[in-house]
Amino acid sequence: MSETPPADGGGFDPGRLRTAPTQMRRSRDDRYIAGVCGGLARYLNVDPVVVRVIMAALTVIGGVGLVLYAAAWLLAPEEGAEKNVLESHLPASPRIRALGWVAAGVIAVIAVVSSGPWFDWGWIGPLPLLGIAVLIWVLARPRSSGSAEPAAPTTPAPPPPGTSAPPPPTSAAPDASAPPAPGTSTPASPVVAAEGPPSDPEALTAVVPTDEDRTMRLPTTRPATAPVPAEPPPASADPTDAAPPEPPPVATPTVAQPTPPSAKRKRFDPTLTWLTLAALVAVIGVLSLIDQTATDVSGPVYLATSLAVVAVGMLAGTWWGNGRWLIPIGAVLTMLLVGVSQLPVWKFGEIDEAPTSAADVLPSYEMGAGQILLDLTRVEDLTALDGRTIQLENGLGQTRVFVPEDLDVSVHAELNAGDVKIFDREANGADASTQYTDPDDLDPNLRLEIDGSLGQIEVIRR
Amino acid sequence: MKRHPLDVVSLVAALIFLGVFGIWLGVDRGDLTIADLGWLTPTLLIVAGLAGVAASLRRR
Repeated sequence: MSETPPADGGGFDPGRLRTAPTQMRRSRDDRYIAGVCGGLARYLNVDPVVVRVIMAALTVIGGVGLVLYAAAWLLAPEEGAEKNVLESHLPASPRIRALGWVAAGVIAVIAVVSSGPWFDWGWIGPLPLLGIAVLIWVLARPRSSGSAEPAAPTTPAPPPPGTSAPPPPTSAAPDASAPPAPGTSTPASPVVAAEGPPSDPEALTAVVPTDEDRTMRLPTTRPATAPVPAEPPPASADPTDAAPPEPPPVATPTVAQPTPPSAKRKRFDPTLTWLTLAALVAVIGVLSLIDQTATDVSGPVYLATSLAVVAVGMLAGTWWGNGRWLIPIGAVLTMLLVGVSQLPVWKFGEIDEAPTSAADVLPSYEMGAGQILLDLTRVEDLTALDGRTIQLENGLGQTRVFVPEDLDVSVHAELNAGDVKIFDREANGADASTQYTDPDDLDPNLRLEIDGSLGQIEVIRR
Repeated sequence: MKRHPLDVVSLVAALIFLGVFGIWLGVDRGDLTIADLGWLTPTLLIVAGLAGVAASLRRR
């Protein structure tokens, strides 16, 4: 039973992913729990098994699947019903669904961020941030900033009921109930049309990101889509829902391109973006001047300062001009900053030392990214090393220490991700750490503390 | 550049970026440790998200 996809043919249309949160209905007959997966599969015109598998996979990722499922349970009405679970208990308001999805999105993001060992995996840390960046990026795409203005003029676009008869041919099977649809569902269609098609080519895998996108984007869409509750309910839901994405392509050519395109073009004012970028260039110039003349300025400082400039620009964009194009820049800077912050020092290259006396052995060796090679086998006065501690820290790369036979060592090695090998003791993967202590005898004792974010740590005796 | 109604997207993104910068500054100055990121990052998202929700509600 769960194998029967909707009858309207056409196959999977990625464009429908965008409208799913507002338009989908929970299935009455194809359900295990609340019919969310079955309903979503029917709405998207895919096999329910696919949806269930994806949902299960999302559940493993910090319980995101559960959050989304619960949200859909509360926010998507059942087939044939007008109100969702929340609305049937609260005074109806078009805001409830939007707010609900926003809340679900926030919870889902927090679930991902705080799940598992993200924070200890320094280098994995950027992943949740990347997700957030994608979210923001999608949020930032044009159309919503002045939603009230452009939406209004667009609405009249697909009015000619006569012309809109042809929409069905494109994908949905020519359904008897289709013609009346364009009229009823017009308010929703222009919005979808505004940006549905361009991003369509995304594959099925797009389910995950898009899912979250929408949750966050909804509020902005809301004013235009407001009439959702008014939608035709039960059986007819399918054919009607199919219509919204369709009409635009047909309608636009016929109705000419008066308001919508030109209005859209005018709306983007790049002044703020250029202003901020120019300020950014100036600030970087000042920093490098300081770097040359006064004190050293390290890479992270450049990145962090740039991020601050971009953030201020965006804060200005909250009220003046359009600073949304700064979002991807800020996201990239954030990721770089997080990555670079993992490095213990701002230093790259190789440390290759083979001291010949205990006095030449430094208490610590640090490298941002690169290689540390420390050969202690040539030290002649090993007894002078007795009781000393050597710290080695390498953010990214390989750290190798060679230890002579007649020196006892106790080693503590910690790596956020990678391989740790101390003599014949090995650890690898995430949070690889190993402790080793030579049996106590008359040889001098040396303590080695080796740290790293990503790479390889090796202590070899020879 | 004209003044326009509050843009929620810019506001949320700006708050997040400012927060990241602030956290970096704290860690760099030694006021915060890496372990603090465990609660700071979610807090930042919550604050930015709630600000976004509040702003979009007020806009109507």
